[in-house]
Amino acid sequence: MNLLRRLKDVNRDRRRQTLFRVKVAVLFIVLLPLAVSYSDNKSYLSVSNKTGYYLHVIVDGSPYLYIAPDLEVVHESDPKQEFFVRVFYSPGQDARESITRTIYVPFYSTSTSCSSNSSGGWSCSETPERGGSVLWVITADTMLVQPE
Amino acid sequence: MIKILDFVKISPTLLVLIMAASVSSANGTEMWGKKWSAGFYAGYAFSTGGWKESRYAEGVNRFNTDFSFALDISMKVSRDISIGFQTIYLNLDTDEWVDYVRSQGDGLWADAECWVTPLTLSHSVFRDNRNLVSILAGMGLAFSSGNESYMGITYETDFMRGADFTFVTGVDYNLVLKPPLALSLHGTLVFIPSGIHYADGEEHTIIAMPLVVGARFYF
Repeated sequence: MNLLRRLKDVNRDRRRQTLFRVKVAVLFIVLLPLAVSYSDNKSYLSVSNKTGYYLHVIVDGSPYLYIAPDLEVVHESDPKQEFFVRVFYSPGQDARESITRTIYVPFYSTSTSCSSNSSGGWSCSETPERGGSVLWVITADTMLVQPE
Repeated sequence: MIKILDFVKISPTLLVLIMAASVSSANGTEMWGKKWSAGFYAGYAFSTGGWKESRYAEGVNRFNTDFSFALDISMKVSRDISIGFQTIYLNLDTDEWVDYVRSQGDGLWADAECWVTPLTLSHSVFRDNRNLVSILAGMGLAFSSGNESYMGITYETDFMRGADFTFVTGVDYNLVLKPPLALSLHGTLVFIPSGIHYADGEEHTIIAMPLVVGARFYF
C-alpha cells in the first residue's frame, strides 16, 4: 500500500513539475516581445499625410504607397542619422508635385562609461548605438517647395 | 504567333475538347482507390470584395482577377479522405486601374500576382464507376506581389508583399477518361485575410474563386 502511495506521490510531483515548466515557458514566450521592444535601439521616421490627397512615400528605397489623407506611416531601420525620402502624389489624382528630402534623426553613437567599484578597480560598461525618432508632417505647401 | 500567356488562357478549352473527345465507357472504380493522384489545371478566377477597388477613384478597380492555373498532389488516408497540397496561381489584372490613371494624364505601369499554397483535406461525397465528387478545405500561405512604375521610378507594391495566412474551400469533380487519367473540374474559394494591407493601417481580405479544369492522374 505504502509503495503504491509513494508511486502516486512521485507521479503527482512529476505532473506538477511539468506543469510548472510549461507555465514558465508560456510566460517567457508572452514576455519575450515586450523585452525585445524595450531593448529597441532602432531609428524611426513617421510621415504624416496632411495634404488632402493620397501619397506615395519612399524612404531609403522602401515604398509606402497610397497613404490616405490624415494618416501616417512609420519607417524603422537600424540606428542611423538620416533618411533619404521621396514623396509624390499617388497616381490618378491630377496632382503631380514631388519632393525629395533628407530627414535627419537623433543618433546616439556607442559610448563607454566607467566607474570605480568597491574593490578599488574600475568597471566599465558600453552603451550600444541607438537611434531616435522624428515625425515629418507633409502638407500641400510642403509639396510645393522645390526639391533640394 | 500564340504567346505563352495566350496559350495558358485557351488551354482549358482545348483540354476539355480533347478530353471530351476521348471519353469512353472506362471504369474508374479501381482508379478511385489509388493512393496518390496529381493534376494540372487552368482556367479563370472570379473575385469579389473591396480589396479590388481603388482607394480613391470611385468605381474603378485596382485589381481584377484573370486567368488562373493550379497544381496539386493528393494522398488517400482512407477510402473517402485525402490530404493534399495545392498551388494556385492568380493573375491580378491591373489594366482597368492603369487605364484610369492614364486617362487622368499620368503615366503608370503596374502588375500583380498571387500564389496560394494550402494544405487541404478532402472528403469524397459521391462516387460511382465514372464520377467522383469531393469537397475540400484547407489552409496555408499566400504569397502576393506587385510592381508599379510611376514618376520615373519602379517600386514594389508594399501593400501586397510577403506571406499571408490563407483559407480555401472547394469542390472537385472528376470524370474518368481512360485510367489512370481523369478530367477534373475544380471550384475553389480562396480567402486571404489581410491579403491587402496598406502601410497606414487599412486592410482587406482577398476573396477569389478560381474555376479551373484539367487532367488528373491516379497512381
